[in-house]
Amino acid sequence: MVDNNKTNLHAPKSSLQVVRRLAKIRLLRGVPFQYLVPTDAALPVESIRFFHIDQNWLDALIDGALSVTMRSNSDIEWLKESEPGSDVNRYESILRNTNQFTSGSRKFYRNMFKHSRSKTGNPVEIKSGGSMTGLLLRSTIVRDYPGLEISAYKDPESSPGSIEINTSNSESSWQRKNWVQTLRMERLSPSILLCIFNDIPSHVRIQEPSESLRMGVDGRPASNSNEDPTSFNLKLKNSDGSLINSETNIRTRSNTNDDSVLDITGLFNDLQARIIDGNDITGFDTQDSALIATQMLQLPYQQDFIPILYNFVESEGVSKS
Amino acid sequence: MPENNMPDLGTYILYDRVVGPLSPGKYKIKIGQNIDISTNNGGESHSAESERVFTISGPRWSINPPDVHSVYPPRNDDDSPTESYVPFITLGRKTLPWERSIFSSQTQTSNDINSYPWVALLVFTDEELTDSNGVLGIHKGEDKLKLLSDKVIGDITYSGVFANKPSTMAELGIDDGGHDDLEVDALRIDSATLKSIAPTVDELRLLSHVRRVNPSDKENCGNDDDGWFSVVMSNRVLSKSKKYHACLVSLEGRFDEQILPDNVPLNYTNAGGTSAVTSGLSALLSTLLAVPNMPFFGTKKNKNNNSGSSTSQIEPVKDETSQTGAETKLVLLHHWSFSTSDIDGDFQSRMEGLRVRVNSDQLEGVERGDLISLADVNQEKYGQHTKDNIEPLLLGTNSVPGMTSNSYLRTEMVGADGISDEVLYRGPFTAVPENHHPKQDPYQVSDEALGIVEELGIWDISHASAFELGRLMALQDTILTGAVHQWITESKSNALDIERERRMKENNLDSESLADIISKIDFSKVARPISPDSTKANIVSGEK
Repeated sequence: MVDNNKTNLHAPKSSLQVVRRLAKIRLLRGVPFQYLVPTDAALPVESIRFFHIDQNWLDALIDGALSVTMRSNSDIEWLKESEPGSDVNRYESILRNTNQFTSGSRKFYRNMFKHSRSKTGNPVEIKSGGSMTGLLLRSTIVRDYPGLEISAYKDPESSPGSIEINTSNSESSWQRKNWVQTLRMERLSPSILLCIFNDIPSHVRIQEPSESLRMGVDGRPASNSNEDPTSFNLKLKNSDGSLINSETNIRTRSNTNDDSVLDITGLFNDLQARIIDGNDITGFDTQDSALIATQMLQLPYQQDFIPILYNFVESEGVSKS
Repeated sequence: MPENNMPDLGTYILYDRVVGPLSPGKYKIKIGQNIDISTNNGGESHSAESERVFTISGPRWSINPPDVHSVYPPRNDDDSPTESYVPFITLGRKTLPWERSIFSSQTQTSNDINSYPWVALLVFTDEELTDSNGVLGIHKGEDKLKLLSDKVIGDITYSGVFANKPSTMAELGIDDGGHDDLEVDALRIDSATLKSIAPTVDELRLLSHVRRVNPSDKENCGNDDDGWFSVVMSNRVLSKSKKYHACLVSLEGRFDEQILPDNVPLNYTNAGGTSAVTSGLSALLSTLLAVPNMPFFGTKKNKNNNSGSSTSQIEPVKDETSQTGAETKLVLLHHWSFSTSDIDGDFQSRMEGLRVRVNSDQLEGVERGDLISLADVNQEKYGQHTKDNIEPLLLGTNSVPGMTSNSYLRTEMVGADGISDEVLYRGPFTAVPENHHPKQDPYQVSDEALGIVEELGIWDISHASAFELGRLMALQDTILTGAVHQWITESKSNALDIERERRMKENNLDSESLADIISKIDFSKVARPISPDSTKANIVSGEK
């Protein structure tokens, strides 16, 4: 937890301002992208990459920033001294407080945890000083879907294993108690999104913006399928909006240049036949336009990544001179 | 569920339609009352009547902007997703699409006329809307068209929206001469193009619905009071890299003009066209229902409705009414334009299209270092164990050219002397976890942060680079430097105060004796710098 009381006890007000500014730097705000990803090949176009954060690198960054503010040897000596009543020198205190402030600096999270505390009576502890991780998403998704929702979770029972794509653990793994704090989520460019987490998550969920309730279809049939390539697939839903494990195929008109005008009549007839059949979509009766609308509603899609950052050996890097 | 069928927060209810009890027009209400009074002397009878005329009005020639709750894709959007969503407009008035009728009073039908909307959302590309003169068929603002009279725009004379449509004008009650010069926003489109894209009248019925949300769910509802909305969808999926115009048009009273297609030619679909379940009874029902299920009007029968059946290529139906070069004009209630992305696919297909690098020479058709999409990871075409042969989704592994497994990049550094050296660099993001070793003292210069790989004699400049970057960032941050200086000044000042108080207490001094001491001080000595090497800083009072 951020020990603001301790900070205020031993240091003047200006020290809090210093910690606040250094916390921004520690979250890599303003760091040129080339310093973060030194080669384009590490983050190809249309890719997602997870990473650990080398906190020694962050300390060196802070050291550089502090060095500019030290105008004389006496200032450096001052940095190595401790505030009256404190048992660590100012440098260590700055690093420690900056690290703590980083995890508690977002008003959003502060408020959220406050709410959580008052509701359940069990305050949720913001961890700090532990591992930091993150992800970079480089895709047109970032550009085309503003408001992307990314949340990380750490399941204490998840076992290390090889990376799995688009699978899901039991729903309990996605419970709030397993949530890992997001320290920073920001677009670095129109198509690159950076997320920094305050721990090592075991699984991450990326979800389409939930406000984007749209109407549409589910793309063209796969090129290797036997389906009409000019048609569109549509995943079928019950009247409560729940998806069923079945889809239909909507034909298109042939008198347009781009096979883009849907055969709504054919779709309706097909859906009615399924309703009468009784073995497929359920909950509908005599609906017409509401039936079409329900089937064409596109619910927010979510993509899960499990597990992501475990089972890799630790590295000590190279020796310092 | 809350009372009055109010949806729960975060949920919504879809209805086919909400039809008001009365359509727009003038109405007369007649109230009569009879009172019979019985008394001992006999009976009396009194009666009274009163008439009131009132008008029910609604949008007809345009829709007020506040009545448009939202549009999708957003107006002027540059990157609308393609091959996934259909454009739609959400209106704040739940009954609006059904307040008027597409049919004339002459239309012979037994169907529920009120269930058909009088509006349609038509989506055209820029090319489809541009005529042979290079003029876009959207007439708004100063380029509005008149209902009947001609109007000259530029060098071109445009006839009115209802020119040569006397029966329609009569049906709409605007043939009194008073509406001839009324200007409205209008869509002008090649009739054949309109028929190729517009929904049939039966599809029109399926493309408008009502949505009800909980009004306290501000995300969905904005500042709407009752949570009711009507939604008009288009029937067209967007293609990539095109500019589109979405046009909400009025079709009031225009059914008899046959501007909508009767039946539509469909692309080929094979017998296995539907991917699941449509088999047996379901398929049979589908075929049986294909024609009779949908209502049709008057004498206009669907002669060639192929929907839902499995057929080979169907030739486009020749339409007697569509003549080359003929134009149709429609009242344009609302219009917005947008452009589509140059990439196909919705959110899911784009997520599944994210790429991962192949980390094996064993897979068929791909080589180590190639990028394949996540969707292909479990595909049989790359072999049985693809996922064991792709790199983990980690930033900077040895599958990246020039990188090591622990995210170091071999690169060159040019020194101040112009000589370049091979060095290792690693940013803060690593593929492997790194233990944190907090230092007791900061680096003072970047050289202190240099590392060396002794076996190879190569410098690791990672932390030195971070140090130099931190310097550059702090130089731009005057708030940081100012706060540090203030902190130092305050700390030193506080320390001096504490020391002075301590000495005064030790020597039993008070403020008076202190003033006496100060008056006897030789300031030329006080100002001399306390330096072990006074030759380097020889500053004395009054002399610099």
